[in-house]
Amino acid sequence: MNIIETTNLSRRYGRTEAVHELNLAVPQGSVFALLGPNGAGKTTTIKVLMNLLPPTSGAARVLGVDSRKLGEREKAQLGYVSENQQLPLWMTVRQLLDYCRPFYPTWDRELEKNLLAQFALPEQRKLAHLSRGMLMKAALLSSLAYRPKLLVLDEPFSGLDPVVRDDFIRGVLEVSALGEWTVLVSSHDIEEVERLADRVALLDGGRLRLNETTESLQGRFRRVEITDAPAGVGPATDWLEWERAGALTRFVEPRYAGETTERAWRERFGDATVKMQPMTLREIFMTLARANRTTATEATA
Amino acid sequence: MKLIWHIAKKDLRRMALPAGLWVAFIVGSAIWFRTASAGTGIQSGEAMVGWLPMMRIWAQLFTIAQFIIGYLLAGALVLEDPVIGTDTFWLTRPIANARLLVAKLLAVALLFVVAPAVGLALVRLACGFSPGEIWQATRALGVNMGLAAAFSVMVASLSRNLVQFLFGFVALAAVGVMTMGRFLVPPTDQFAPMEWAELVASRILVANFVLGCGIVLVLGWQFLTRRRVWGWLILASIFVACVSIRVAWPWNTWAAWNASETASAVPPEAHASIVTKAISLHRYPDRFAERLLQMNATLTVTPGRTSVGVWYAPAAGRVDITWENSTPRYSISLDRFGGSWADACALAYLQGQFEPAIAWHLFGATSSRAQLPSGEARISGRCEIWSARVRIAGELPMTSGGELVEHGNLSRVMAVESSIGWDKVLVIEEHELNFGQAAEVFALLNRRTKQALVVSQNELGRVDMNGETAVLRRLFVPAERPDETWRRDAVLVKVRIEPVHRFFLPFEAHARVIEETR
Repeated sequence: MNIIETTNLSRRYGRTEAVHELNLAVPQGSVFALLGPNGAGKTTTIKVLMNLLPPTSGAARVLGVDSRKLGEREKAQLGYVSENQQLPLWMTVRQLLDYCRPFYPTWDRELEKNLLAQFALPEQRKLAHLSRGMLMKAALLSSLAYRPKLLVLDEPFSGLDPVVRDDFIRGVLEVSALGEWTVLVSSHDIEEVERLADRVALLDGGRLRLNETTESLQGRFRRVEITDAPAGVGPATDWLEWERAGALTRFVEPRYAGETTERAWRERFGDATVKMQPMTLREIFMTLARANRTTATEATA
Repeated sequence: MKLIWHIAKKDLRRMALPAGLWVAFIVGSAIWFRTASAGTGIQSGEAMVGWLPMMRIWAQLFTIAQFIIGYLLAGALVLEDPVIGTDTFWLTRPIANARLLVAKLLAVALLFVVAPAVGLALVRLACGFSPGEIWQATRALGVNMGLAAAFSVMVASLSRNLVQFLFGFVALAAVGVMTMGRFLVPPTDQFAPMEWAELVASRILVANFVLGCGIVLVLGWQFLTRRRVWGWLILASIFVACVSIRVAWPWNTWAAWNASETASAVPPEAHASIVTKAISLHRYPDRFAERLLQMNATLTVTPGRTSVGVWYAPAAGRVDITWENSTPRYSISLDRFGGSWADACALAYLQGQFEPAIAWHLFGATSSRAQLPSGEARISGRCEIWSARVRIAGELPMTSGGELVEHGNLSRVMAVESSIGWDKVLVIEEHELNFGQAAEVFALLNRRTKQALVVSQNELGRVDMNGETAVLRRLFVPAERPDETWRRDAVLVKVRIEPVHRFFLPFEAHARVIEETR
């Protein structure tokens, strides 16, 4: 079952199309990462999903309800943490939790207590006096203590130093292990998300470039290096970043399927030495982003 | 309801300190206003006149500060959870828009209407005002504060932050002054036909009603849909509608509204018999040799058994004079003869204690030359009569330092002057609650001989703040005439008059114009 589904979802700001006909499905229980460079349309997508913005066209369903009709009942099952969210900074951490609690029938006092201890948040300190990392933790705590079915994190790592970021990710990982929660996290920081997500989608220029599990993604991308490839052998149509320098030929194979793919390489390159290595998510996305840019430039030309 | 109160409580806690200081400021300024005095024993009234401008400046500053600070704080309370924007905390929490709206209105009402009203009520209770007086003054203050707060909440609902809120306020105030304000004042031509005056009143009434509904509509729209562009468009449409109504509303709604307002009141006929005794038309030459048309009317009122505590006096009148088979038409505004409406009412009350019937005299004239056709003129129109609750507040000793305290209302003789033609001139200072159109009249009264005389007065100035008024006035006690021996035992009484309802007594008469030589 999908906890989020979008159908041809588009959102324009005047003449700028921030999101273009997005079709997305986030399965229940997954940690889904929405990746992409700045301005890719991640935050806009999330704002439409959270009914903070209406879609220009298309539709989105969140928790089985049209995003434009998200009511108190659905929001009681939704957690949202964003770098831009305006928290009531005049409140102390304790006051924030006391204020939020009555809105959620499923608020778990025990979990609240545990998370407070785990995040090491000073209860009596005003939010205005917390560091950015602490503030994000306080927001996360106020969005976790009622065990939401869906937790949405919009660029949660921005501006956090590595130690705090690590703490934060560990916190999310630990709580996501507590139950059947679905997490949607948007970020341009691929390395951090790699540790969290079991499924990723890549947005670029408001369009969806990719949507699959991290496992399958990392399984099908290989960086290949051929030494002494026969002259005259060109790249296959789907290879990316094809490059030849002297005796060395390099490319990225986006459809690696084990023995079958390796046999195809041998048939193409004969006795040449083939070396291949798996790629990190970051490398995969950089490769795809460059490829998209090249395609776009060619199309424009 | 529990969640509404929960949200409101959060806002109350947030605004407790600034709103508390604001209420303290209001209460403090009320105490200052109450205790500030010109001081007794001053020999000349003119010497005290310097006190009034200072009072007026400070009172105006305090009043403006109260409203501006209150307005800003009410807006800030709404902007705690802005309606506009996508990064607002409450939007991603299970808080229904309607619930938030009710919670905000509740918090605003408690902090910016109830709290200052209660604060002032306590001050007034300590001053000795009666619960009835306090309630009326509190109600008036609550309405004013409520209107300012409602406007503030509406502008805040259209704003993303404090800067936009301030800009919105300035822009709306400017547009309001440039458009609505221009049509707020009815034509001052007192000789315009009566229907026109009522039409202007109708336009103001309907436009204000539409504006009030518009504020509610924009507020509801903004909180429920959060679509700001449409919110501004609705507001702009309402402004346009209000201006159009003020310019072109064709129906006399005011009369219908006034009729429904007074329908529940007991008509004067139930309390007293009011008879049109005489109506006459005169044509007088004025000093520029133009001949003006003047109308005199005399009414008599005979108080009935049920008129205890309620008295009547004409406020004004207006008649149209026409001739059959002739085009001239003159409209005349009628005023009371020999004093203000309050004087007439007070005298009616005092004389009504002793005499079975009291006469009212009304008169009025055209402002320009009247070309009169021959024949009998038809006079049609009506006289505006107010019923009022009248009571003698007490006796004021006619000596320097003499005081009259009635509930919290205070009258104090600051100085006794002598002046040619007058027995004495009393300079008095008064502090009183002034809700509605209450008026005070001083009169010499001899209960034994059953005679009364209204003392003419000259108001040196008045300052209002939060429904309380400080007044300096001179009372001119006339020199005793040989036939006024009753005045030797007379006391100076203060008569307090609170208008209750307005009625209209129709005139319908025919009269020939009497040509006067001077």
